[in-house]
Amino acid sequence: MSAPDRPHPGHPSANTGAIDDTQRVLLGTLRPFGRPGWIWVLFLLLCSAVGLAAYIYQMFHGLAATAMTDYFSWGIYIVNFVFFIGVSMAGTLISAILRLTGAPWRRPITRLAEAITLFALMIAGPMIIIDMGRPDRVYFVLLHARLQSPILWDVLSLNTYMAGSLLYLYLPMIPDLAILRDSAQAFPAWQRRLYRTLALGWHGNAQQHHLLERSIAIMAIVIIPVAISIHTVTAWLFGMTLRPGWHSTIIGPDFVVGAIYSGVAAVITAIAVFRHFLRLHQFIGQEHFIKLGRLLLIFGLIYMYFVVNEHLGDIYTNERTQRHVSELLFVGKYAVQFWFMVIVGLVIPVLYLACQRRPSVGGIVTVAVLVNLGMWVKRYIIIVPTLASPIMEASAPKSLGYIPTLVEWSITLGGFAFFCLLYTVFAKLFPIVSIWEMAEDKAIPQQARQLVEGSHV
Amino acid sequence: MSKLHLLVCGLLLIAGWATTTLRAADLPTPTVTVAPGEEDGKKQLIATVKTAEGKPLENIPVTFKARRLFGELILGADKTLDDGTASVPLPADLPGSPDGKLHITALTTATAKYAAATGLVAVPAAPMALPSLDPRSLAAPHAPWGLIITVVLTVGGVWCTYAYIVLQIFRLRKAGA
Repeated sequence: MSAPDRPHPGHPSANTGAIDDTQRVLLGTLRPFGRPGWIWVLFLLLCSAVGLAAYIYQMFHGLAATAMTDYFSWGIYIVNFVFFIGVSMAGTLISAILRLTGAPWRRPITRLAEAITLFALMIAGPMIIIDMGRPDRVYFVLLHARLQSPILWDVLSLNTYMAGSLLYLYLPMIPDLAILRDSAQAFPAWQRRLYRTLALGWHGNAQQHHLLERSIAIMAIVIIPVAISIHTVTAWLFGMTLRPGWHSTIIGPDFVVGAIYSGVAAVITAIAVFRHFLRLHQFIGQEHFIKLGRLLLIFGLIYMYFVVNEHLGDIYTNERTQRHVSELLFVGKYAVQFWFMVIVGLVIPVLYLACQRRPSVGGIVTVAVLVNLGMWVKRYIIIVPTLASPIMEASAPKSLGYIPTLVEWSITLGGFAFFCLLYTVFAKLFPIVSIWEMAEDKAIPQQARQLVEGSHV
Repeated sequence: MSKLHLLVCGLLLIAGWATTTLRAADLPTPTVTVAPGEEDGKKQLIATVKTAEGKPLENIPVTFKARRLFGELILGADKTLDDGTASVPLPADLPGSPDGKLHITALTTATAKYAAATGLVAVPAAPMALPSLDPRSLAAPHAPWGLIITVVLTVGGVWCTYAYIVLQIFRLRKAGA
């Protein structure tokens, strides 16, 4: 068969025995929930409902239901926003960069990463609206748009990134949707109709293959600067104000590196969970965790460098307002959070990953969870200590403090639960590991694969 | 304390307040005029305090204030002389409002014989220097062209790419038909 007429691995006729086995195992992950699965979904629904109820309460009582005041105009809603924006970086890095560099080990984890991006953005966006307190006025942002405002830049870049992430998640799914459409597995009628519609009549012919590969390649190139832009613009929301701790020339790159660091940690956590519960050990091995652990180590070290840069100048110049923020962080009211971030979120993960030649999966996952915790706290100490250092101190109360209320914690819980729920439902509707890319991987002769791996890994 | 005591105390308080208020309202209000002047080559602000009949009032405290963006700046205080005038120096470098005027208030303090009074004058002064460059921050009335072009090109470029990809998706569907 000539190359142009070669059936794409996504086409059933291209299947070999090994590919059939891959397909069988991955289609098996789409079986309906068992009892533990339903308990998990009900738990997530309950937590999401708690968050929704808290939001309804907040809508009736206004932002007075939160701990936000005229001095603390931003609270943990913006902490969550920045955290989820950071987590969303994972999909771009793992998928687009590794796809463009041709790293074959990315295949089982790309969809996991791409899905994280979309779902994290779906939670991050509404956090801004929740923080605004008047959702009925959201359209004012566009109606009275001022291009000079970083808020509008953020709206533009967030929506651009979300649309791009949706396209980038969908394109590599098309061959798998065709496999699902043609599979003998008993799906409900609505689900089969969904697969048929989304598969776009994919048959894996040469022209379709060419169009798909080209579209994926273009999106892989475009999505990287778009992802960097959203993290930079989010940083500019802070950096464009003349506030101590925020107004810094390195805040853009600082946010990008922090986002990649927390994003890689989120991907490690997610693939560990799915590997365990969907029994994907034959696709996702220790090597994947070790490679992702190395990425985590590299970005952890770079982020350490940024943290030192961020604070050294402030301490050295000892300017009055900057000094106040530094004191709050190092020895003051927010010292516990700051040192927790430094030790738990940076030092321990970096030391562990640097000292272990072949760290265990459990160890890597543990430090990834610590990084996630540390980076959430990092976003908290980016926002709160600066707001506790007002420029016009004379009019401020003597002791400024922000302790989130139950309403804010409930909405945060709901946000995280809904993120997990979206991910869980997605993994039950679509194969979380790309069937056709895994099949393609197995279809490559062993010798050729060794050559490819030798040149890219 | 009985209810009767409370009632009596309350009535006394009301009576005292009413008496004071009425007394203040009954006091004659002097007229205050302010004008710029010059003494020994230095600019001065001179307030003249007189009765309604035009008799100069002596020993009346006068405070001079200049209107600023967020309130009033106290320029100084003086007591009137026997000719009813009080003066303070006018800082030469004090800028006026954008219309080139410095709005001055002379305020007399209430005394046992006279109520408080105010006199106003707008003195010509150099207008506040505005930035020579166009405002570049959020306060600017319009976004600069450079920003508009940059945003339209970058965001527009990305969305055009998305549109192209959507077109490819339609072509992909057609190729499978």
